[in-house]
Amino acid sequence: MRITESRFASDFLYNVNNSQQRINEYQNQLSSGLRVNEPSDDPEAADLILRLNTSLSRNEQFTSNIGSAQSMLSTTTDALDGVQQIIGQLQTTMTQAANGAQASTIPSFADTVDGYISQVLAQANTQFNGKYVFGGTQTQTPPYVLTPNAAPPPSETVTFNGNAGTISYAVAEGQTQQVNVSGQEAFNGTALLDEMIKIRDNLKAGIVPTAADETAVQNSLNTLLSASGRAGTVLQGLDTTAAHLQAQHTQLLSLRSAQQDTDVAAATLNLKQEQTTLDAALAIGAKILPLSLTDFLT
Amino acid sequence: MSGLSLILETARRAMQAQQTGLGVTSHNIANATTPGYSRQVAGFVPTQPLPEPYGLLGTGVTVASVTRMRDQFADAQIRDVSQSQSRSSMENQILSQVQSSFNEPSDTALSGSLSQFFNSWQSLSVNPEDSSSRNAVLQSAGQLAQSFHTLNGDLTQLRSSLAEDAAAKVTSINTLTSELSTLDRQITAAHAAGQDANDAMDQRDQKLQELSGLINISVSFDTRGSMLVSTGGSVIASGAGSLQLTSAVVGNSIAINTSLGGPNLNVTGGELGGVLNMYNTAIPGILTQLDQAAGALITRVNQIHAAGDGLGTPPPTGNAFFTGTGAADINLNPALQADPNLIAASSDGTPGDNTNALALAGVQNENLLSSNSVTIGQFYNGVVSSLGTAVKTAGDTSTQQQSVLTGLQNQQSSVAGVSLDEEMTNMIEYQKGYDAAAKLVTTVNAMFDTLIQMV
Repeated sequence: MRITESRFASDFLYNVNNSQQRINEYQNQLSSGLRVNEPSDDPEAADLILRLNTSLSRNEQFTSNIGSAQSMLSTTTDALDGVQQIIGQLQTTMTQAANGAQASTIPSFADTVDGYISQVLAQANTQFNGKYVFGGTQTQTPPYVLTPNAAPPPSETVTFNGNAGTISYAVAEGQTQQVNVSGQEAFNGTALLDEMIKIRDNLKAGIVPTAADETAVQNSLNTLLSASGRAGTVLQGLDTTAAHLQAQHTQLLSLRSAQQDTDVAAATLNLKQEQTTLDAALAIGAKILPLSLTDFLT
Repeated sequence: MSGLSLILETARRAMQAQQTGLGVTSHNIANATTPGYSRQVAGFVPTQPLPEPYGLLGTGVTVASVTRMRDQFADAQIRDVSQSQSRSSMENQILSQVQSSFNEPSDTALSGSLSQFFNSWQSLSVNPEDSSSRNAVLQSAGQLAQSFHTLNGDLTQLRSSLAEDAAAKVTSINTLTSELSTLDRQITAAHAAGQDANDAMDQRDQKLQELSGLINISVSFDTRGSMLVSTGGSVIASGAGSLQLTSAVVGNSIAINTSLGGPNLNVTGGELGGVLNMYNTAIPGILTQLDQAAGALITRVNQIHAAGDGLGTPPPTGNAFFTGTGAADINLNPALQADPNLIAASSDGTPGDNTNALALAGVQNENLLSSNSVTIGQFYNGVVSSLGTAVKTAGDTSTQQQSVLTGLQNQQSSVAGVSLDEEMTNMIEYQKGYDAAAKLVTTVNAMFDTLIQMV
């Protein structure tokens, strides 16, 4: 085959150009830190990266949802614990009133019970982040309201403005978790407060609590404990889910990094190699290109 | 006596022939770097011998022709490959621009806005009563609509610039075809007068090659060396003249026609073929897919949203979330923008209920596209990754064909290219030949002197 000077030149340029393109590619990878800067760099990886991005973003949202769920449930269990303590004190007071109290002192117990009633009312109307936690899905109105009764007994009527609605958060892929305890469930609707008002009214009138009253209070406590227990279980479950999400997050990040990030060691090595090749090509080109027979003719 | 004169004449012819040879060599050296130039070779042939009683007596040399060295077959192949190479390269360029408009993978591109949008519904489901969560939904929805608009706008803009591009290429094609037919006339005229037209033929080959980079052509030559250039079955250039092409946007696509009218030309190759394919097929395809994604999102979100309840007494219901039907006109319902309480997070009208917000967040996982087989996000990812594949394929094809083209050009240059070493060698040969012939003249001259002195 005849080889001409222009062939030398065009081949030389072609090869040097290719080499420079590869150097440019490695430099891009190293300076951006990303192996896939555009879908065309690796279409399959790009598809995977987009999917991983979505999964990561969902994962982070779930973690944030769980955070809110945990706060909501903690507020709920704290309030329930408070009510549980008040019921314990109420039971003590009831026992004291029933056992050997002077008839004249009995009405004074009514004031103590009255205090308990306002404490329970305050807890039952607990707010978290601007919402009443025991109102079901009626979160914007106080669930429990006491109004004086025109025709006693009882002296006050308890109204439950909430409902039994459930509030669920999305906590993981395809998984929602109920995060509220309605007053319907925790306090048996108005039953606890109704009973407490009845006991107070009776004490005021000098009537000591009966065994039936004690049973009613105990039943309310049991209902409360089971609601509190359920909330506690959900909280624990959320801890597990959160830990799982965290592990998944790490996993997703490492998967994405494997697809998207530059292997710095390999890219650096490739770059060095390519630079050496280019240096050699340029040096040889500079030696050979200017040569022709004219250099030797005298 | 006649013998010596004959030798003198032979020597004269030799000197003239070597001089012509040197002339051709100098033309070659001068054009060593001229694009499309083919080296020329002086064709030396012996002149008519004289019949003598003892046989034929040679009478010297003459230059019968100056031929250009050209591999016609390689030329035809170069034209073929160049058509598809320049088309792929053009497509690669345009698709890369499309790809840049998508700006994926990135958090700030449409895929990020889409995730953000669905996440904001989840955040709202956590705090359905909260006005800041409601505003966050509005903000992310606005961002998403904006992403669709930007992408749609960029691609539409790019596409309309392609129409101008096509018109410019048609102008170049018309210039080339008219130059070609002028050159062809010159060549035919020279041939008819029995002359060589090497340089004009080089130019013609060069322009044919340029033309094949712009549009798919087939070229044939008749026995007199006159060309016939046709594209898509219509002759667009010959010695008789050239047919001007026109480019016009007809309906939703660019149509290439001739000044004679008739059916549109089927342009499949060259840069024009690439531009046409992008304008008529590829970009509208991507725009349609974006419209499908936006349309599915609008329909489904509106459907769920209208069924839910906002905040208020009585709870507002039946409101659309988005307006519009596609990527170009998707927008947040202005009524919601004005009153975030219209956002329907609740299903039963109570402020704490988040069922509808959860349902809207769930749209992210609903298979709404491609016959209900993929989610909006997956569909969009599919668009992006097939775009990536298209860019890569066009780039790879272009590179691969470029190397075929380089191979063919090398093959052509091994025949047609000027080698300075070779020309130097020829120069020495001609110079020595000239020297020798001149020496012959001196010798014959001396013999004449000898003869004259004898008298």
